[in-house]
Amino acid sequence: MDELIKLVSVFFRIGLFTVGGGYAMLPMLQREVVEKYKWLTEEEILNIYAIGQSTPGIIAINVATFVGTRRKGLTGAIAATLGMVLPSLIIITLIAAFFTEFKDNAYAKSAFEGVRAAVAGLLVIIVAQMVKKAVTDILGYLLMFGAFSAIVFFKAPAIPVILLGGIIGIIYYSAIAAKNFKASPETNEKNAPAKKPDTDNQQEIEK
Amino acid sequence: MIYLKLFYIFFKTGLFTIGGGLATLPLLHEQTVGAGLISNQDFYDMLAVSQSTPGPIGINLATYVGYELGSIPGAIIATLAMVAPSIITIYVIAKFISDFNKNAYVRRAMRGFRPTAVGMIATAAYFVLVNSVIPGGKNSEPQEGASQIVIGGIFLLSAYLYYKYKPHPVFIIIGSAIAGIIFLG
Repeated sequence: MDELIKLVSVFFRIGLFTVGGGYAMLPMLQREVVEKYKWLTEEEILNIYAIGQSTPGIIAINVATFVGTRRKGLTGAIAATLGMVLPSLIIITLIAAFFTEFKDNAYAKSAFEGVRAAVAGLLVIIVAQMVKKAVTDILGYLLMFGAFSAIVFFKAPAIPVILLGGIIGIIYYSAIAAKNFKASPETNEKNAPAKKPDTDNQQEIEK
Repeated sequence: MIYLKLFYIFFKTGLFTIGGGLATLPLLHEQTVGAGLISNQDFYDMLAVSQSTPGPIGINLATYVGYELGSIPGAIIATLAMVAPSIITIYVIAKFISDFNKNAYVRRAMRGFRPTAVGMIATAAYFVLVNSVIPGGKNSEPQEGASQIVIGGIFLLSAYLYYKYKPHPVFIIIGSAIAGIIFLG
């Protein structure tokens, strides 16, 4: 019980002091989970991030669930996740309740006109930075432009688009791996990128 | 039944979000604005609030949309629905599979998912640009020339400042709100 309360309170604090995306909570997570409570090592945290990034769900929640499961099984997972979402639930509910009241206020309207323009500016930069990190080869560019056009110009639904991206990734990179294997049987997937940097993602190798 | 609908929408959004909270944007936009549940403007206002308040953006968005559509029970249901897929998949992975990321097929699928997700997030940037910055966008109200210049200026300045100095988004959002009140009021 003690441990469950601790899980809730630690992740409550992390949720409360994380403003922005899942990466913003990494330093906080390190301080609380690694240094203070020694629940996990630094390396384990980074592995969890890698897994959290590549499984369904928001990274921050995935990390909380993972730490909770490792500590206390399913109840631990629920406790940590609950702690993580509680600050959002409380703060956003308060803001939303207040916001609907003042949304039609003339000042608020002008303020939000400015804010929307700023959000557009932020998103453009965020996308540009993501391109640098996530798009590493020709197929990446094709998938990115393909997904964008499918949604913007053809109004394609989002779920099939993301699923198709994954399927194409499996087919394409498997074909490349098979080709590399044929060309030089001693070259396994792990050291292939050293010879053909375009075909394998360095990030994954580091993981 | 709005609660069931909220649960369904956010469970689906949680399940198909891979990566950070911003990856929820296109799907959530489709499920809420596309379905006529909330207006486009409200959606991007919520995004601005979600980015500048504590907590993961995806969760903030879920709570917010849930509250708008179903008050406090709606907020709770939307948030729980959003995290349910995470709890299920991560629990299974943490319990049974220790080297999930070492599987070659999983890695290849992820290499396909990531650029696709970037393309989808780019659509969010595109839609907010078209709707709130570019003159004559389908949802923007007719603006005087001067207001249009201010809006364009806020857009460019925020992009520049964020690129150059990487401040926390909350500062840019507060700054742009103040600029809006002064120059667009």
